[in-house]
Parts: sequence; C-alpha cells; structure tokens
Amino acid sequence: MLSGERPERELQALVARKGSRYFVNFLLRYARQLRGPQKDTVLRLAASHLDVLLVDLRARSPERRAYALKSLGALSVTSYRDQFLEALTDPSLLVAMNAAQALARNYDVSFADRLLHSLERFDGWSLRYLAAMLASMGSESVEILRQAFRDTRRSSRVRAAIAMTLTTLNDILAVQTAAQVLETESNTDLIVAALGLIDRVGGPDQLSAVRRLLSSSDPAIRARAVTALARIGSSQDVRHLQAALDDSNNWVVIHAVEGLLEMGRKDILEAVAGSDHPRALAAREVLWEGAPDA
Amino acid sequence: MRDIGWTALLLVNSLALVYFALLNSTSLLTSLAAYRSLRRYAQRLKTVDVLELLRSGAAQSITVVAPAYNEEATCVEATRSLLTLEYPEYEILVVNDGSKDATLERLSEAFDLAPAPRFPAADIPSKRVRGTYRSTRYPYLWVIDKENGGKADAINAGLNFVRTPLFCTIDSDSLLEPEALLRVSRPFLEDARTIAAGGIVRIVNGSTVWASRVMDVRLPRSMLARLQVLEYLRAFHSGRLGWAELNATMIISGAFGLFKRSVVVEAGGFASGTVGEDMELVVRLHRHCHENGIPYRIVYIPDPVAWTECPETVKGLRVQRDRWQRGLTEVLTRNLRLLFNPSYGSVGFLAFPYFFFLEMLGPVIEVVGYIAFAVTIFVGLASLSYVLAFLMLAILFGIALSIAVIGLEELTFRRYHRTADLARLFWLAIAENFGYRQLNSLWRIKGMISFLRGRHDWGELTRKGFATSD
Repeated sequence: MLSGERPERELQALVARKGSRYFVNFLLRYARQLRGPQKDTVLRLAASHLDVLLVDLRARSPERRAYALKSLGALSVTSYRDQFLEALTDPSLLVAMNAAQALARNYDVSFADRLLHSLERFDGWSLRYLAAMLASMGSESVEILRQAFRDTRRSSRVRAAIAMTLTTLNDILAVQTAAQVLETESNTDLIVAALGLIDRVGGPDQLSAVRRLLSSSDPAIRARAVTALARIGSSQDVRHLQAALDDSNNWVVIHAVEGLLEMGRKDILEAVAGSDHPRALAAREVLWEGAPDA
Repeated sequence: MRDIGWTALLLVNSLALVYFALLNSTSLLTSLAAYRSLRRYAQRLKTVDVLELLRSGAAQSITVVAPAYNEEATCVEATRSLLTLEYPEYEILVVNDGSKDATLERLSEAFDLAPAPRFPAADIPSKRVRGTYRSTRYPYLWVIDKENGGKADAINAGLNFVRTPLFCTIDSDSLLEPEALLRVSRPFLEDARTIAAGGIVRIVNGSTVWASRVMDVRLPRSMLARLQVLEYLRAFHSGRLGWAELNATMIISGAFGLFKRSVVVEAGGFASGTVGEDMELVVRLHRHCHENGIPYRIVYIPDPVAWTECPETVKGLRVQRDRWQRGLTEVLTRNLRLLFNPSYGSVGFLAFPYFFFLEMLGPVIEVVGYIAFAVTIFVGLASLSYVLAFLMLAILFGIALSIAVIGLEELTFRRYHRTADLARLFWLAIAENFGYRQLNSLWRIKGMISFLRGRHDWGELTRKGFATSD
C-alpha cells in the first residue's frame, strides 16, 4: 500500500468502526518513522479514524489525554488545531506540553501569541527542553521570538529559553536585546543565555558589556563571558583571558584556556603549560586536545 | 523477680508485635503508592518518544562515572556496555581505584588508552590521581588512575573531572540498558528542580549477555540468587517507588543513579570512609537542600535498568548484607537530627523513622522477638497455637505483599517471560520466609555489631563475570 501497488480503500474497508483505536495505534508506529509521500499515505489512512481520539481528550487521566494529543500530533495537527490550543491550558502540564510541542512543530503565526503565552506555565522545565521545542518552530518564528525576548514582563527563565532558541536560529537582530540583558538583568540563566547569543552572532558593539561581566561574582557568568570575549574580542582582550587563568574557579580557567586557543594564542598556552603555573595542566590539556600526537 | 521477667517478656513480645504490624503496614502503604505510581508511569511512558528526545537536542550532556576496584574480570565488558548507550552527548570516566589486579592493563589493552592531560573542574578531596588516560579509539572514554581510597573516594576523584551538568554513577560491574540514560534523565528535563534520579537495579545472574547487552532474561540457577531477585523486585518496585511517590527517597543505588553535578559538588561530594556512600549522599542532599532553602526533587524511575551480578555463595551474601547494614547504621546515626524533624518534610517525619526503627533496628527486634516467642511458649505464658497463628499471619501478609510486587512487575515491565520463572518467583515468595529471612536478620545484626566495633572496610568481593553467549 505504501508503495502504491494497492489502493488505500482496500485497507480502509478492512477496518471495522470498533477497530479505529487499534488501527490508529498501528498507523502511529509508521507515521513516526516515515517521511514524504509514504507518510502522507499513512496520514490519509488515519484521517477518518482520528475522532476516536477526541473522546480521550476528555478522559480523566492526564496521561490518557496526553497520549491522545501525542497521537493527534503525529497524525494531524491542522485538522484539530482548536483542540491543541485548548489543551495549552489543560490543568496537567504533561498534556499542555504535548500540545505545545505539536503546535511548535506545526508553527503558524496565527497561534504564535497563545503558544508563547503558554510558555510561562513551563517555567520549571529544563531550559534546553524549552529551547529545543521553540527551535522546532523554525526560522519563520524568529520575529515573534525576538519580540518575546525583549518583553521584560516574561519570566527570566522563559526569556533565557527564547535566547537559547534565537542562538540556535542565528538571529543577529536579537543581539541588541541580549546586550541590554547584560546591562539590566540579574538572573544567571538569562545572562548566560544572552552571552551565548552574543557569542554566536555578536560583535565589537557588545564588547564593553561582556567585559564588564568578567568581574561578576557568579562564576557561571564569568566563565561564559570569557568564552564570548574570546569569540568577539580583539587582541587587547587577550590580557583579560590571561587574567582569567588566575580565577579561583576552575570552570572559568577551563573557559579561559579554551578562549586563548580560540584566539590563536598558543604561545601563551605553551608558556603556561611549560611552567609551574598552577593552571599549567589546563593549558596542557587544551594544547593536547588541539594536537594529541604532539 | 519472676514478675519482672514475665513483664519483660510481655514487653518484648509486644514490641515484636508492633514491629511486625508497622513493618507490614508501611510495606502495604508503599506498595499501594507504588502501584498508583507504576500505573501512571506506564501510561506516561506512552507519551514519550525516546527517538524524538534523542533528536530534539533537549537532552543534557552526562558523564558516566564508573569506579573500579579489582574488576579485571568484568571491567572490559562493563565498559563496552557503556560505549553502546543511546544518548546524544555523554562521556565515560572509569576510575581505577588503585586496583591490585590487572584492571588498568585490561582497560588499556581493550580500549587503546593513551596518557592525556585533564584539568579538574572541582576540588573535592580525594586520594592522589596517578594519571589520566583517554581511549584513542573512543574519544569520549577516559580512565582516571588513582591511589586506593574506597568507592566514595573514587567517585569523588571522577566527579572532579566531570564537565557536564549531570553525572551518572554506576558500579563498574553493572550493565546499563541502552536507553537507560535517556529514561533516567527525563525527570531533569521536566522539572529543573530535580537533583537526583535513580533507576531499578536487576540481577543479571542466569540471564544471557551478548555484546554487553542482556538478551535473554531468566532467573538464576542458584536458589540464593533467585531469592535475591525477589528481594530486589520488592525493594525497588515497592520500597523505592513507594517512597519516591511520597517524595521521601532515601536511597539511590550506587549501581545506578543520575545526579546534578553542581549540587553534589556544593554538598561536598560523596563521603569517603563510609560503606553506605550512596544512601549517605542522598540523605545529605536532602539536608543540604532543606537547610539552604533550595527547592529540589529526588526521584526514582522504575524502568531504566542497570543489571548487576549478585553473590551466589552464602559467604558472599553474608559479606554483602553485613556491609549494607553497616552502611545503613552509619548513615542513620550520622544524621540523627532528621529523626522526626518536621523541618525536613516527609523525609524527616516518615522515611527516616522508617529506616531507623524498621530497617536498622528491625533485625534485632525480629530475632529477639523470635526468641521471646519461643520462651513465651516454653513458660506457658501463651499457647503455641496463638503464637503460631500470629506468626502465620505476619508471614502470610509478607507473602501477599511479595506476590503483589511480582504482579506489578508482570503488569508493567514483564521481564521474566517464562511461566516457569514466574511460578518460581511465586514459590520463592513463600519459601523465603522459612530460613532465608531469619538468616538475613542474623547477618544484619552481625553488620550492626561490626559497625559498633568500628569496621569500615568493604569485605572481600569476588566477581564471576557476565555469562556471555557467542
């Protein structure tokens, strides 16, 4: 059937009404693995049986509701968009997240606001998870994500997840907001995410804001600032990286040696590696990584 | 004088009665909680597409820290199993804890290790690191060679070199199932407060291992090992899952646990010089988070599996139980401030007292109770039929709980497919009450005595290696 040798209606005719649920579960396995015209065939086969899942969307068990959404998400989001949007406010976060993921994968500007608004509910989820979900919205969503990143009414964690998404999507226009975040915000996650964005697409305009963070009391911020500086900094920033070698936090030191290598300053690393500097091992490691046979 | 003796006898009898009643009621409660949780978890699993998780880029990178001491028989096979894990971004650190055998040589030959500098990211005290090696064939495999300092010290040495947000501890003789890391890491994605998660440890004896994977799950041939299969099922499906449901997980097995690196480092790493380092860390993490106002969650996930070899000789089992009891006693006595302390939530008010009175002191109460029952019958204070009826009731209750756990296993994960294996498990649920349970209590009392005498070593462990098929 998938190869087009037999007509779809032959299989459809074999499925009794009572067997819809079983048939949908059967098709789901293929829907997740197939691509292109073969997947389209599976989606067409499933289309007339999906109503059976709508009953499950009203089930008491959140797991059952989530599974129904997951199945609908794999087989047809567009026909059931209203149900997905409604599920964003489901009392169960598991259900809401399944809805959000399906909508993100089938992004449309018409529901972007509602989707982004629902993000606040997932404040406790891992930032990488949220960022991966948002990234599945694709590059068409960049404009609206950028606006959301600017919006200081949103929670810091959600803004951090958005910044990570914009980094993945290489959004150069978000850099200005990232620089503002460095100046005005205090949340570590948000600042680190903004530094990540600057690291990826930033330039000399953000240098002063990044340099200022080298003296932050938070080692996670200092470490990320060192990396960003190595990427966007000039030769005069080498001294900042050298100074970071003496940081009391080993993470900052690791970022500093990697940064010096990034800036092409093997000479400094070799001098440290060959000396009795307390960070000589870090320098030796990064040089070894670059040329393990040396 | 006789009155005092009788009163004492009655008191001991009453204490034993209360002990049995409390033990069985708690087991019933945790089993009910576990049943609810397992059902929900099994449904929840359907909403997760593991492949999707792999592709999404959401997974946080993990370092697997595997301490090894005199593991020449199993270390290569166990490390190979780690290399086949399905996880987007992970690194393996095998820590050779000053083995006296050829552990390091075996690893070096099997994985083409070469000396490679590695700078530590943390400074948790540990014995001196003699060298760091990296596999030239598998760049994400490292071996840390250090002076002997015990398991906790070895994990700490490894932890210093961890550069990922999460790290997983496993015993170097354990085999992880390929999707184990993906499954155990899921709570960290869904709730950023998660600081630790444990998975189930199952017994590999009797099963067939091929290419570092457990292919055919069977009950062991040895009766002693079979009894341990039942014990493990009960401990994990009922005990740990039940306590996790009450948000009071006290143990994450050293054989398989995933932790948030930053919190463990802040808490000072694993405690060296203890034999119950896995439980000690979890209890300390509870304290650390409560005392510093850190919102946190410690969870147990029932399906990521680590397979481990269990002792098949009486001596091996005695040594293991002695060590476990010493570890338990040490951890509980070190953290007495948690006992009935409401500031530590359900851990202080429920789990800690349970472990203190029923797990730590339980064997003593049980054995003294058996003796008291015998004396009671002997002096004619109670009839034989009365005492036997009570004992039968306690035993039947225990059997019912064990059967319920086997039922849970069957309803959910169904690892033992053969009817004969299932029938054997049901039979073991009855048989363990006649001899094995009492023997265990005696070994555990011996463990307490060893603790009071200040013994801190691990005891001799012998590994057979995994039964592999060609």
